[in-house]
Order: sequence, then C-alpha cells, then structure tokens
Amino acid sequence: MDFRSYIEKQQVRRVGHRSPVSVAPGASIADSVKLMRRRSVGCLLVIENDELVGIFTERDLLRRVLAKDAAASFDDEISTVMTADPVVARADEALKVLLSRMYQGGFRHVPVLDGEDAVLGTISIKRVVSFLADQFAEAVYNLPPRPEDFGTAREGA
Amino acid sequence: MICPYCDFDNIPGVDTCEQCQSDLGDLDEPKSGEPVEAGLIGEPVKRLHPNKAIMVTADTTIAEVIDTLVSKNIGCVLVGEGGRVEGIFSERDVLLKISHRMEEVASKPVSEFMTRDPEMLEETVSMAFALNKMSVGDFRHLPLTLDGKLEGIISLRDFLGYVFSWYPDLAET
Repeated sequence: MDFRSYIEKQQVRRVGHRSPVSVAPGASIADSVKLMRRRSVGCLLVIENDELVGIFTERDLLRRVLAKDAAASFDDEISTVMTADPVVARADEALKVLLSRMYQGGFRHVPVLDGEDAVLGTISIKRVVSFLADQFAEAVYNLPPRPEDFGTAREGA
Repeated sequence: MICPYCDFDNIPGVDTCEQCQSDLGDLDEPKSGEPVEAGLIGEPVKRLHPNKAIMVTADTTIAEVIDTLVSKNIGCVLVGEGGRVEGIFSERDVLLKISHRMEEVASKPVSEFMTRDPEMLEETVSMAFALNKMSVGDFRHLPLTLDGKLEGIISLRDFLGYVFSWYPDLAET
C-alpha cells in the first residue's frame, strides 16, 4: 500500500507507547519533578481515580515553575501547574490523526487511551519519527556513514 | 497484526484476516520507491526549512538561558560565538541538571551544564541522512551548517512537517 493509505489505515496502537509515569493531582511539584528525573521522562500523566486529568511536561516545568515570573513554588500541588484536559489519541484511531495532532499542536508527548478512556501510556514524537523512519528503513538506515566521502567522480585511472 | 478493516487481532505474518478474509499481504510496510521516500533520499535536509538557531555566549547565566527558552518558545539554545558552536543546552538539561537546584545554579554560566561539541550536519546532506543521525543518536534537535558555518536548526517535528507537505489535506484534525 502507498504511504498515504498506510497512515490512514493503520492504527495508533501500531506505533507502541511507553507505559505511563503518573502522579496524583495532589502530589507536590517537587516530588513530581523528582520522579521525572529518576525515570528520565519528559512528561508525567496526572491521574485521579483511573482517569487522566492532566499532563505535566518539561515545557511546563520551564514556563510555570522555573521562569522568572512563574508564581509556583515546589511545595505547590502539581494540579496548579499541569495542563488540564490534554489533547489525547485513542489506540484505535488512525495513525494520521496522531501525526496531525502532534504536528499541529507542537506536542512532544500525547497520552494514549483505549476505547473505554483507560490510560494506556504516552507516545513521544521521538517514537513517532523513529516509527516512520522504520517504514523507510532501506532509505534511512542503509546509508554510508559519511555520504560526502562517496564522491561522484571515479578515482584513479 | 491488527486487521485495518475489521480490527481483528491476527497472529503476526498472516496473509489474510482470519475474521473478515481481507488481504493483509501488503499491509506490513509501505512500498518502497514512493515519492515521500525518494524525497528523503534525494533532497537535502535544507528542504525541511530549518529554523534560525538561537545562540547565547558561554558566560550567559542559567537564569537568562531559561528566560530565553521561555520567551522565544524554543526547546534548546546553542552556546558559542560568531558562528562557532561550542555546545547545546536543552529543556532536557534543565530537567536533569538544573531542576533540583535552581537557586544554587541560577547565576552560574551555561557552559558548565551544556553538552559540548554537539553533532552538526551540512545542510546539503539528504533528509534520510539527517533522520538517521537523529534517530540513532536520540537527538531532538540538530544544528545545520553551510561550509562549516552555522545556518539553522531542525527538530523532529520538522519531519512530521515533511510528511504533511505531501499530504496537506491530512494535516487537519
């Protein structure tokens, strides 16, 4: 099938997701950021009663916690600095929907839910782009290490 | 594999869907030789319309760099002077190296926390080569040069932009 039909027909689940790293809305910003550092993730899901209520990313840390004019302190609850009701993708939605939400919104992470709104995890733009690169594996991975070393002129004789 | 027509979860490698009998033979991967793929190999990475790279000097303080990242709405700055790049400093560095001791390091120079000598590519190499570099090296950003001089920077998002440049109608949500 051509690439266009591929991203129209394949489902988001095909990309695979990372299992959620999550906190409760009442968790402190200090504890939440510590968890991000320890697990080395750029994005935390905020979950209450098994329901996704927000997302907190590296970007939010910069803008809402560390920036000069940020009012938050590390003792505050994560719910005060998270992005509530984030844009999500469903595992059974078409791949093109995920790509376009990520691209249009400029998001580096999108939470993935199943049909019953249960949180499955997150998909990062890194994962998405690697997944796309895998679809063109021959073009992307079978390359000489330094293309400039392989000139067009014949050597010798 | 999941059948795209009826959602049935088949065992991997089957040619027809066990439930609806649809042909799954050519679903596993896109055909090679498509324009979107040919472009990746044949066109220079410049085609991604690199953004202007924001550069700060090595003695810029962490507090100032954070202000720059926020006010310019960017994910990383390059550190150096006059087109010469000494390092790169990103949001990821803020999380890992700064976030637990902001007060202590706010007035320290960015050069203490940056990643030195980041990978850069000439803007004339193919998009496929740049994609390979970013994918293998786990980079979010890649500075581009022309004859060794800094020209701009690309991010992973630019590759989604490339896909949508072929199918602009799919970019709507």
